[in-house]
This record gives sequence, C-alpha cells and structure tokens, in this order.
Amino acid sequence: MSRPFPFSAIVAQEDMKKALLMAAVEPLLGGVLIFGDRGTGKSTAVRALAELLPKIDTRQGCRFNCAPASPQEACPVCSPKNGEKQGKPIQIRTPMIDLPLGATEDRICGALDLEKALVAGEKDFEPGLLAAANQGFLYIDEVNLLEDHLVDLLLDAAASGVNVVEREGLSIRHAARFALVGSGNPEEGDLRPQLLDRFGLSVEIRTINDLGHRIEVIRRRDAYEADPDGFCSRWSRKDAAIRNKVVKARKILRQIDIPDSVLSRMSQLCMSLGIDGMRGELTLMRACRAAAALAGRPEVSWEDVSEISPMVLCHRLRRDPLDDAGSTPRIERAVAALDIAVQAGAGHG
Amino acid sequence: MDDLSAINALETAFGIEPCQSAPNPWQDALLAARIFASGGPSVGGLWIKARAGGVVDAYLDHLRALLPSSHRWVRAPASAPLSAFAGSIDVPATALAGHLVYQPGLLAKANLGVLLLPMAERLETPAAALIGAAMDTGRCPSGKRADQDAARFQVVALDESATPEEGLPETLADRLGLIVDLNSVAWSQVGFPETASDICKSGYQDVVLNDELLRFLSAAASAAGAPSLRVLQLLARISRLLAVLDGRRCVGETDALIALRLSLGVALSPPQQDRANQEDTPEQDKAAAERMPSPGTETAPPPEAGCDTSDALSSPSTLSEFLATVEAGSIAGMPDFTSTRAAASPRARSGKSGKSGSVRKDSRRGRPVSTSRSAPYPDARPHIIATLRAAAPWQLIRSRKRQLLAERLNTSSAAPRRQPHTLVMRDDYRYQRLRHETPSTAIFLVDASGSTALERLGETKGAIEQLLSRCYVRRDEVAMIAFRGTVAETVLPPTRSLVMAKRKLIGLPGGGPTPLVAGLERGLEMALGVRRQGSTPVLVLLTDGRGNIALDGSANRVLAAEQLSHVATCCRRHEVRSICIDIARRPREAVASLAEAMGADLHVLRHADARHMSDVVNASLEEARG
Repeated sequence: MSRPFPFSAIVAQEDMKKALLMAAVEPLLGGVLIFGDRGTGKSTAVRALAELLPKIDTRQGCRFNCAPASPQEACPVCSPKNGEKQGKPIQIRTPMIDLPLGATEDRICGALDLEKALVAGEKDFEPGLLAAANQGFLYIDEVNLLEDHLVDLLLDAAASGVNVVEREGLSIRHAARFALVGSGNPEEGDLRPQLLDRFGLSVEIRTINDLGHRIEVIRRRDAYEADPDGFCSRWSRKDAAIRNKVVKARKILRQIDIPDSVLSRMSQLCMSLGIDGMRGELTLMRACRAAAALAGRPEVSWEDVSEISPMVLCHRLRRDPLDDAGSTPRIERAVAALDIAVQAGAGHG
Repeated sequence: MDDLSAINALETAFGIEPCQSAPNPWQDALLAARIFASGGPSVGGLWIKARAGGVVDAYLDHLRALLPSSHRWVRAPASAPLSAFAGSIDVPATALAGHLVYQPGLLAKANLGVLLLPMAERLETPAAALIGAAMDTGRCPSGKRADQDAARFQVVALDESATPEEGLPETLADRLGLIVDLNSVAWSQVGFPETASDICKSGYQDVVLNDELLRFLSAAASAAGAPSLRVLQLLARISRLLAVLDGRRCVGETDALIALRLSLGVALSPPQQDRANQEDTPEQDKAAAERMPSPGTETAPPPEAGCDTSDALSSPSTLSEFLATVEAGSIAGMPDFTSTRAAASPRARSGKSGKSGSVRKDSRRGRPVSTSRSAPYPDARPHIIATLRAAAPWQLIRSRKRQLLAERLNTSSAAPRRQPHTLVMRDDYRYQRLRHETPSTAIFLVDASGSTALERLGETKGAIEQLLSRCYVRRDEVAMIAFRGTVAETVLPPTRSLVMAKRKLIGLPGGGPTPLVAGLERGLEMALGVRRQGSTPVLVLLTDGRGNIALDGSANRVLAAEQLSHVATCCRRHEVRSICIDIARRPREAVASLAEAMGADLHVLRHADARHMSDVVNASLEEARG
C-alpha cells in the first residue's frame, strides 16, 4: 500500500466527499460521521483525503505535531529543557491516524512510558494517538463497535482541542486539535444520541445502484491495483485541483459573510424540526460557510443551507423508529415547507 | 412455464448439459481451492461451511498442499480475544530481558500466509472488523505505539453454524471471495485429482472482462442480495482467474457463471429442470462438454481459446432471462445466506446473549475494588504502584541472590551489567479489578383501556409493589407505562423506590380506546435508554392484542396493525428481552403473533393475578442477569 487510492478517482458518493472536504476546510466543524453499507468506499475516501491535503508545519522529531510558532510545554523537542536546540522546522503530510478497535485508553491519551519507568526509573510521558493526530485527522473505522468510554474520551478531546492526562503521577496537557472521522455500519450497532450529536456532520451513504457507476468503480479499482503509481499520477492533476480549492477555501473562510435573512431562516428551520440546543444552528452556520468557501463564493446563500442541512441536522433529530427512510426526507420536507412559507410571505408582502 | 422456458433457452444458449447443471459441490470445492491458491490475497479468502469432520480435514490438507510450502499457516485459537490479533507486550519476556519486548499478533504472524479461523461463526464483530481492516490495508496495529506490522494474508474461515441465526460477521463475510459448502459432501465423494493441479502464477490483471459481462455480474449479484461493491470486485477477479486457469485471455460467460456459483453460491439452474432437458440431443451434449470446462479435472484447452467476443455478445437476451429467474428467486441453490443478508437477521443474537445484566467483576470500567495477581481481562495493564509495592520487600533478598548467581556463574562477559534500581518479577504484577454493576429494569406496559382496565391496573400495581419489595436487595428497577385514549404515558419512570412507586400509582385512570403501538413504542424507547445506562431492560407487555389507534392518534385499525408489527420487529432487532402477558378472556391469536414478532415469551393470565405476575417477571429478571 504505497500510495492510497486517489480522492478524485472515487466514483459518486458526492455527499461523503463534500462532507470530508468541508471538515478539512473548517476544523471547528467537529468531525464527520459516515454511516453506510459495507463496501461503499468509506475507508478509501478517508485514507485518500490525507494524501490530498496540503502539508503541515512542525519540527523534526516532534511527537505532538506542534506548530513551529507555538511550541508546547509538554513537548521535549519544541521546548527543550536544558538549553538544547529546538528541532528543525519541517513539513509533513497531514496526519491521518487510524484508531484500531483494540486500542486501550493509555494508547489513545498517552501514558507513563513503562519501559523508562521500570528500567531507568524515570517518569516520562509517552504520547498517544491523540498527540499524533494533532493538526490532522483521527479516523475510527467501525466507531459503533468502539467501547463507549473510549468514544467519550475521543469526543471530549475533539471538542475541547486539548488532551489532559492525569494518571500515574503524570499531569500533562497538550493540544489535540484534530477532525474526528468515524465510519460504521448501522446494522452492527448504534451510537449513543449524546455522541451522535457531537459529530458535526453525518452522512448516510448507500451502495451505488447505478450500473454504469458500479462498473466504473470496478474498472478504476482494477487499474489502480495493476499499477498504483501510474494510476495515481494519472489522477494527480485532479487531486491537485481539489487541493487548491481547499487551500483557497481555508484562506477566505473567515471573510465569508452570512446575511441576516439566511441566519434567521436557519433558526426557523432548527426550531421547526425541534432540535434542542444551539449546537445544531452553530454547526449549520459553520458548515454553510465552509461550503461557500469551497465554492469560492463570498456569501452564504439559502441554496447552501438547503443542500447542507440534511448532513448537519439529520443525526440531531429525535429518532423515530417508524421512519425507515431515515431522517433526511424529514429535513428536506421542513426546508421545502420553509421555502413555501417564505414565498407566501413575499407574495403577501 | 415462463421460468422453465427461460431456463431451457438459457441452457441451450450456454450449451450446458443437464448433468452439469446440477453442480457437484465437491468439484466446486476443488476448483475454489485452485482459485484460492492462485489468487492469493486478492480473492480475500475462503468461507467453508462445514461441521468438523473428515471431509473438512481432507479438504484443508489439500488446500495446504496446493499452496507453496513457504506459506505460513496460522490457526487462530477458538474465541481468541481482540488483543490476540494485534500485537502486544510480552510481559514475561520483558521482565526477563529488562526492556520492553513485543510479540506480534496473529495477523502479523499470518503475513504472507493463511489465517485459519476455526468456529468463525463465534468470532466477535470487533475482531472481525480488525481482520477486515488488515485485509484492506495489508497492515495491522502492532503492540508498539503508532507502529504497524505488515499483514498480507488470506483467510480461511470455518463456519460451523447450525442455525440460520448464526453465521460469519458480515464485515468478514463481505471480504471473502469464495464460498464452499462441504456439508452436503459425503465422504465417498471425496477424491483428489491425481496430477497435481497447476497453480497459475501469472497475473489475471491483463485478462479482458468486457463491460457487458461485468454488468451482468453486477446485476446478478444485486439480485442475489449482495449489492456490495466489494463482492462485485471479488466476482470480477474470480471470473478472470477462472479464465487464466483455463488458459484464455478473455473472460467468457461460463467463467462468469462459475464465478457466481463459487462466490455467491448461486447455482446455475434448478435440478428439477433436468427432466425437461433430457431430450437434448447427444451432439449438443458433446458440444457442451467441450465448451464448459468441467471443474477440477484437466481437460484440453477448449477450442475457442483466445478472445471469443462473439460468444460473449451472442446472447444478451438469455442473460437478461437468467437475471429474471434470479430475481424471481426460482433458482435452486440460492444460498441461505443471501436471504439473511437481505433481511438483516439478528446475527448478533448468538454471540451476545447472557453477557449482560450481572455484576461484572472483571469489567473494563466501574469502581476499582481490589488488586489481584491475575489479569482480569487478557490485555490488562499492571497497576504500577501496587506492583512496585509488592516487589519492594524482596529487593534486598533479590539483589543478593542476583549477586550470588552472578558469582557462581562467574560470567566471563567483560562489563558487568548495571544493577537495576528495582527487581520486579512476574509474581509481583498486580492488576486493578473494577467492579461494574449492571442491574435489570422491568418495564411494564399496561393496557389501561376498555372495561377490564381498573382490575388490570390494580393487579399490575400489586405486582410492581411486590417486585420492588423483592428486588430491593438486587437493586433492580421497575418502570411503568400505561396506554389509553390516544397516547402512552410514562406513569412511573425507572425507579427502585417503593415509596415513589406507591405515590405515583395512586389514582391512575382507565378506559377508552387502545393505542397499543404508541405504548410499545414508548416502551422500546425507554428500554433502549435503560440499556444505554448499563442496565438490562425487560419489557413486560400486558395486553389483549387489540390495538385500534395508530401512532398519529387516528382510529385507523389497519395502519395501527402495520405500525405495530414494525415496532415489534424493532424490539426484536434490538434484542430487548420481553414478556407478553395475554389478559384477554380467551387466548388470542393476535397476542401470540405479536409475541412472536417481538421474540417475547408468551404467558396467558386470564385473571391477572398480582402474585403470579410478579413471579413470572421475577423469573425473567433473574434469567436476564445470566
């Protein structure tokens, strides 16, 4: 597995690709949850994303991915103790850390370095996966099979951007700013509603039913397996185009304007769907901004909202055991109802 | 008759003689073994459905002989824990060596070889997911932090499932390209080709598979209930490998059909059609024998070796007819798994039962209670302070002993090893035990409608109070939901307080129509909530089974029945333990079918008697805690 399958070569599944790119543009979104059937390219897309994104700045030998400008106290490389020199600034690939299902709590948070403690008698911190994922992505395949207390831990770190370790006589704080990407198959188990709600975006994907697309998938996969490097270089231009889009979007993200009328309609939408708390609206606003930035527009439009609202809101609705089709149609209905109301209002006015 | 003629047309078009249309499972198994050996990790693996016995052993020996001797053959222990698959710290070796020693997990050991999973139907889903991820990426987590071992292997899964509820975890089933069913193979049929089958090592990559056949494979796989793209990819690979084994550079229709059979278990045509084809002329049969390479035996390369596109394109209509028969489900040998794949049966039922609802001393979370010498669960971390405390008194003796030993051995090594600060031995390791109590919660769903409501409510109240007084010691909880009029109402949220129960249950009104669905839905919601809090719910439904109010409050009997069956299946799917108590004057079919849909125990209590009811529920609570 020298090079992952190129992102741009993934057929269809536009929602998933868009959600991943939005999370790459706006780190405050709070992660992406991809729920769907088996064999729909969930892992492939996530692994491809890391390859596509621009490199990040850090220092050589740094295990916390500190930005060179803001060294962390916990990092022995970036803030050396006894007058040693800092590591050399370098650029590395955006970290995409795979969280294996069997991982333990100390593997995730980091823990006392057992070897040093027992052999040399030194108290030293061994950074875990959260440190390694700083400035990048943490990917959990089969997130619904992960033990609950581990998911709690991850979401807490993802929401606060800080990992706090207080155990075995250690007291460490370090930055853990990463986008959480979880994927899973809902047939194998559910996530607690409290956890669902913490993921910024949630995408439901289904197996491709279009015959032409299916065949295209098999063909591309075959070509990739026959000659991975050649295939990747054939697609590298399209990948580069997407990379440029992300880089540009990150630059203009903070200047994107949201008109008051759109904001008030967002609130109306959330109210009409009965979504508790402010998190839904906040995420919707951020997601729309990211979408507008990706499209290169300076202003968020109502079309953005109606397009994106399913992936922001569908996992926040109260679950209806009778609704087989999922919550997406309910949101679409609510958006349509709002449209009609506004048009009627305009007509009367 | 339409199906029959379609199949006739199909068979004449493909030129398949009747005796071959009922494929011999043993020959298929041998062919699958050859593909397994020549395809390597690209076909994923082999799913063998068989009970333990001589046939499987002979087949596995054959499979092993086909593979190059350099291939490692790693047999996973039955019910291996998750940690056994990934690498871990070798504690004894670490203690001996004085620095951390890692041992590779099963996945890394199987690198460039075969991972054999016996009793694969008992494999837990997380372990299956780990294996699946390793099959996708070719790497697996090693014990070292942020390190990965290479793990490119093929899987042989022995599925000994006896009932349809059992089966491979779907994460794994999706990635195994070949299915072999040895259950129907008698010992007398077992025989191996004398000449060693050739295993082609040349790639299948440059074999041509045209769009039309690929489209056909895609449609057939979807129709057979396996729409996953991974399955389609494996199908395409297997049909190309078949062509390679046959010495052709182009995939023909027979390859595609055999691939469907080997990979999905979809047989080409039903055996009962044989009679209809008996009047086939011998010439046709002969031609057919030439065109269809018989699996497992070495025949001369067929005459149309090479790229014969005319054969592949000649019969689009027959292909579509074949598809029609697949869709109609009229093909024999439709494997039992396709129905379960399509209907998403509760497979987890077998693996998970009996693990919840009791005090777990060896849990991974909860209150720390004590330290122990043995690890509470396989990959537990030693409790460092307790370990050091246990080791401390021995330090003086141990260092002296070490010195004595060193003197006696009189080691010639020039530099004496540095004396460690502490000498920790295997006996010193202490582990933290955590205690996590998982109580049970009985949720009563009471029909408060109709004329008998008052009596029934009274008895239920009595039963609840008796239960509470009885299960106070066990810290179990009780909740009650009553449904009448158009809505269901939580009368008593989960509680273990007898006082609160008595207070809340005073003056509960009865009468009106029966919103059974609403009640069951509320009950299910509560049960799932209770489960999330770590308790084991038991639903107790008291009803006469006649719901007449739909969820939206309208008096629509048909809609209500439809919604009821839906919610009942939800209950079953979530594996909520439930009891149905029929309280109608005469036992009704409706309640029995509802209980069946929910997977509930059915009791008939004509006169709801508080003591009897609390006995029944109490027994169920006891059972739920395992």
